[in-house]
This record gives sequence, structure tokens and C-alpha cells, in this order.
Amino acid sequence: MPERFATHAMGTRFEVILDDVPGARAIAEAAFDILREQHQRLSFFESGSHLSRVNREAPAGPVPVDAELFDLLEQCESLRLETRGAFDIATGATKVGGPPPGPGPRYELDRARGTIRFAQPGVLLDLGGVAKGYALDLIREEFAQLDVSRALVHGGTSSGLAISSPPELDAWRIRVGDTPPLTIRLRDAAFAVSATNSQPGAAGLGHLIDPETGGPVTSDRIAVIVATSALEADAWATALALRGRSSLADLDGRRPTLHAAVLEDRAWRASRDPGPFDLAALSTRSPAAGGTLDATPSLTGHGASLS
Amino acid sequence: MTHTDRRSFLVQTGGLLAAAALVPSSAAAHVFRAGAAVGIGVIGTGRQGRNILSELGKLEAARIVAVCDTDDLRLRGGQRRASDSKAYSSASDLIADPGVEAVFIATPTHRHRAMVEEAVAAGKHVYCEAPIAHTVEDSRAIARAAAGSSKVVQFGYEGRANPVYSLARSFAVSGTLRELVSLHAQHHEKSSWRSPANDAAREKELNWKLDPEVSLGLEGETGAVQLDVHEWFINKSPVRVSGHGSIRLHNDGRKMPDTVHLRLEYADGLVATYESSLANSYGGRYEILHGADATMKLAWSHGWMFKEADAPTQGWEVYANRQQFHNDEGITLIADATKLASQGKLKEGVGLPYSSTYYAVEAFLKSVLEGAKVVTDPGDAHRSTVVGIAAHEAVSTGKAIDITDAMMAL
Repeated sequence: MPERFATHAMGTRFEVILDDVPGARAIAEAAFDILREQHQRLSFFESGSHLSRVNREAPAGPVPVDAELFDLLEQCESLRLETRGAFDIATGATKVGGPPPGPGPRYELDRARGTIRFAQPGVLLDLGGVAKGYALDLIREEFAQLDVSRALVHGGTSSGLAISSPPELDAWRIRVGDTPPLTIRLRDAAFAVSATNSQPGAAGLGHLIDPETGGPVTSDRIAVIVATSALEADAWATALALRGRSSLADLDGRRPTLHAAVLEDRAWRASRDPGPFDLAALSTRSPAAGGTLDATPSLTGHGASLS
Repeated sequence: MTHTDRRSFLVQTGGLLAAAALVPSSAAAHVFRAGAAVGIGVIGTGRQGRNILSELGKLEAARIVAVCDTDDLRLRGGQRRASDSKAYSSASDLIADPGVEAVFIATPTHRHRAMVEEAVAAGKHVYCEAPIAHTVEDSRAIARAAAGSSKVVQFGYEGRANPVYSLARSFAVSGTLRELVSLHAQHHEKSSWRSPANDAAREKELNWKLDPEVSLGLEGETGAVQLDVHEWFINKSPVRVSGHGSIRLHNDGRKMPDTVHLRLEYADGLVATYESSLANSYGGRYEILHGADATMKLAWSHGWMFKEADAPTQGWEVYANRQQFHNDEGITLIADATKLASQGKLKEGVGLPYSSTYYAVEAFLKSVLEGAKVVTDPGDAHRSTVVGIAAHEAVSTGKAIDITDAMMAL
């Protein structure tokens, strides 16, 4: 029987599922250490985090950041360009009622000095869209060093990673949504789910802000990405939930190794290579008109492994 | 003038004046002279070492030139924070690096002595984590080395560099609490304290905190740092400690308790209690000083004062921020209140903008670069470490341990 361990970090509940072996708790706690450490570094709301310090001081001039944060900010800028602005960490102001920044560069990174400065007024960095994925990538590295042969780790069921598969199964099964549900067969990969909702106040509503308008996205979508990198999965899931299935072709062209699926108008559509997605669900249309979008995938095991 | 305007005006005038007399320190980041920088080597890149690297990364005056760990995985974790630094597996090699001007030591406690002595002998500035040693003999040797050094030697008793704690202490020493009634502290954390490893040798090395041969246990490793806050506030040490430990949750073959309780007695009859547990996280980590006129609760990033109904009220309290804790109302202790009040932003000052470790690291750099007074005194560091060592002996043996002048002497 697998053992399940949990902690609260990054505003959600993380769960680590491991084989029930001696030392399993210590392995899970190694993951929790990473989550807490990254929460303290990357939180938008914690005044003492590295990110909060950058947000306070980078409008006025260059702010030193350590190499790890520098690399992460560089990667986020690459993803912003790659997603044509749909994923943008510089729109934190919208989280506190402000407008998004205008077009153009968001921040300037000086590798020689190890500093960042904001390139225009209105920039406020919010790593909420990738912090979980980033931490999951670090956990995967840690688990590899520890020779962890089988695990599932997820944060609030919206970002996760799988190592190998449950005993006697070929993959972990992740079910997303219910109108209709999509099943992902996940093995040695990461997933991310992002959702929008056009009905403010409705249960399970999405919380995505369009970086161009600063307003909430007004269509109903769920986007799912399966990728090697959990950080990239997080970023692209956000981008796809914003832009919808019309951007699937763009994704196919730019990142053919990512697998994507979008639920829109009660039908799932997948990228060219559906990879780990359940093909039956992809051809199924929801019999019900309307219904509540549920961005939260439920993790379902088969047999006794995960139930 | 509306009520709101008037209140705002008063905060910025009357409140400002009152606060100005009572707030000696600043929580804002210190601005170092442009171009001033120290070449730094960090020995030990486990959790605390990486934390230190994180905080150093915020300071342009800190130039991390080398990191060191005997464990490859941890060393790589350290390098991720300081990618241009040299990587060493030997502390001696790092200390000998001519580019290293200051050494941070974040290794297991029982390994501190050799590294501190070697770094001091090499003429380096030293920052050594607390508790400083696991035996009285080693603690004394380290403190003597620090006292004899012409360079800066600071110890990781972080409360002494914390702006909220400095502010709270200024209230305490000015008599706001009146007669001390009792002291208390707690450390609650839900953790096994066990690090995973894929071979037995590495597991033993990483899990030194669970090794009765070298670890001071919860009472020493967490207790010494928190009980140092009491020591600093009241300027005296306990003379006797008794304690008890048990395993409440982590029954995994360990011998070290996962939950401990201490009772520390002072010569004048004052008593401090301490509880530390790995089985429950409620309440986290804090220190409390109960006085006849007020109680202070300090929680590293935050601090509160709870006034007794019959205690005299000071003018500034009218405009202070308050937080409700069930039936008690706490006045938030805000560092840098003068500046915030002048901007009408007192509420934004609740909670430190940086971590406690940041202020300790920044204080060290101020001493190195600007000659600022070192925030930890070698004698104080030795005495607080001895309290932790005695507490560990009390928990281990079940006997009350006298903390003698001979133990405390350098």
C-alpha cells in the first residue's frame, strides 16, 4: 500500500504518495522542505520573500538576486516570449486591483552584476503561475538523487509530477474535469491544469487574469499540459487557458514535445500528438448543457493503489 | 477635519513623536557604500547554509566566492544559489582560498570548533551558527578564539540582530514590563528531523541531529537560540535546569526525544519554561516574557505587547496597531515605526520585511565593512550555548543540572 503525506505550502495542500517503505516519511519531508523553502523565497504575499523584496525595490533601481532566482526570472521571460505574452509574471499588480503594465520589456536582467530592475512602471512580479511547477522540478531532482523509484506529488491537484507508475499499472491515472472528464496516463512526467470561468462567484471559478486587459478571462476553459518540466507545464497551461484551443496549433509548432488538451464548449481538443490523454474522452461531447467547470482534477487510482 | 483625517493627522504628528522616542532601530535594508563587497565562503550547504546563501544573495555587498559541503547533492544545492562560486569538499581548502575574506559556518554543531579556530587563525572574518558547540570545552574554545580575533566573529543568535526584538528589548529594559513574573518559549514543528539518504554512511552524516553522541537534541539545538533571547532581554542566565523528553510521534527507532520540556530557574526565583516538539506544529516558534504590567510575545517576524488593565498607558499606544487574540488585544511592535507613521503606513509595518536571518547576515557585513559593533558577544554566545548543553544533559539524564559559574566562565 502506498503512503500519503501532506503539507500546506504555496497557498495549497501538497501531497506526496510513496511506497510504504522505511524512510518514506523522511523522503516526503525532503520534498516539503523544498516546498517551504521556495514558498519563503517566491511568495507574492510574504513580505520577507525574495520576490517581495524585488517588487519593493526593483522599480527604483537594480536589485541583487541570487543565481537561482536570476535563472528562474530569465526562464520566465523566455516563456513569456514563447507564449506571445499569454504567460506573464509581470502582471502582479492586477492581483491587488492595479492595471497590467504596457507593452514592451518587463524587466532587465544584468547577469554580470546579478541584478534585476523593472523596465516600466506598473510591473509587479507574481510567480504564482509557476512556483509550484518550479518546486516540483526541484523535488524530482531530489528524488532522483535519493533513488526514489515510484512517487506521485501534486499541489492542490493542479500541478503534479509522476515518477514511474503505481504497482502493476503502466501509469498513474489523473482525471480532469467532469463535463466530460479527461483521463491522463502519467508516467515520468509532470502535469498542470489551469482553468477560467465566466461566472464570477460560481464555485470552482478560475482566477486567470488576461495580461493584456488586466481583467478576468471571460470564457469557460480548462487547459491541461503534460511535459517533462513541471515549470513549463504550469506556464503553458496558463497560456492555453487564456488563449484557448485556437492556440493549440501554435503550441504544436513551437513546442512539439508538450502534450496539451483544452476543454472548451464542452469538448476536449488535444495537440497533434495526444500522448498521454485518453483518446475516448477526446472524442466525447458532454451530454449536459452548462454545468460547473471544475478545474480540479481528481487523482484516481486503479485497484487498491491510490483510492 | 473629518474623523479619519484627524486620526491620520495625529498618527503623523503626535504618534510620530511618541514613537520616535521609543523606536531605535530600522527594519529597512541597510545601504552599503557603492562598490563595497566582502568575498564570502559558506561551509555547509544544508538547509541553514542554503538559507544563508539566499539572504546573502540579497546583498550586493556579499560576493559569494566559494561554497563547501562534504555531500555532493547539498553542494550542488548551494551552487544553485551561487553559480559563479568555487565548490569545495574540504572546509580547510575553502578557508585557505585567498579570495575568501569571511567564512560562514553552517555545519553540524560538533564540527564548529575546528573550523572556527582554523578560520580565525587564517585571519578570516567568521560567522558561526548557534549553538556554537556541543560541549562546554568546545564552546569555551570557540568563544576564546572569537574574543582573541582582530577580525569580526559573529554567532547565529539571530534574535540579537532582529529589529522587532531590538525594539521589544528597548521596552523591556526601560521597565515597561515592570517586575518579571515568568518566561516561556516554544518551538513546534511537524517534522521527523530525519533526512533521507541512499546509503548508510550518508544517512548517519546527514542525521547528526538524531545522534545522541553529538547532538544537543531539541533542547539544545532549538532551545539555545530561543533561550538566548531571554538571556539578552533580562541580562542574566539560569542557574539550574531540569527537563524531560519523550517520543510522542516519531517512533522510528530513534533515541532522541521528539518532544521535550524544560524548567529553568534563576537565582532570584524567576522561572522559565520551554517546550519543543517535532510532533505538532501549532503555534510555531515564539518567546514570551510575562511582567506585572505587560506581556511580550515575540515570534521572529512579529512581536506584540499585551498590557495589563492597571498598567500606565503611554501616549503612543492610542495610535498603535492592535491584533485580537481571543480575549487579549496585542499591540503590534513595529520596527521602523517612525518612518511608517510619517507616511501614514503604520499598518504596513506589521511584520518584518525581511527574514530574521537576513538581519543577522546584514549585521555581520556592517561589522566587516563599516566597523559596526558585533551584535553577539563571545561571552554571551558561550553562556547561551552552555544553557543548551546543560538542558540536554538534564533531558538525557532526568536529573536537574546546576549551571555553575565555572561552566559559564570563558
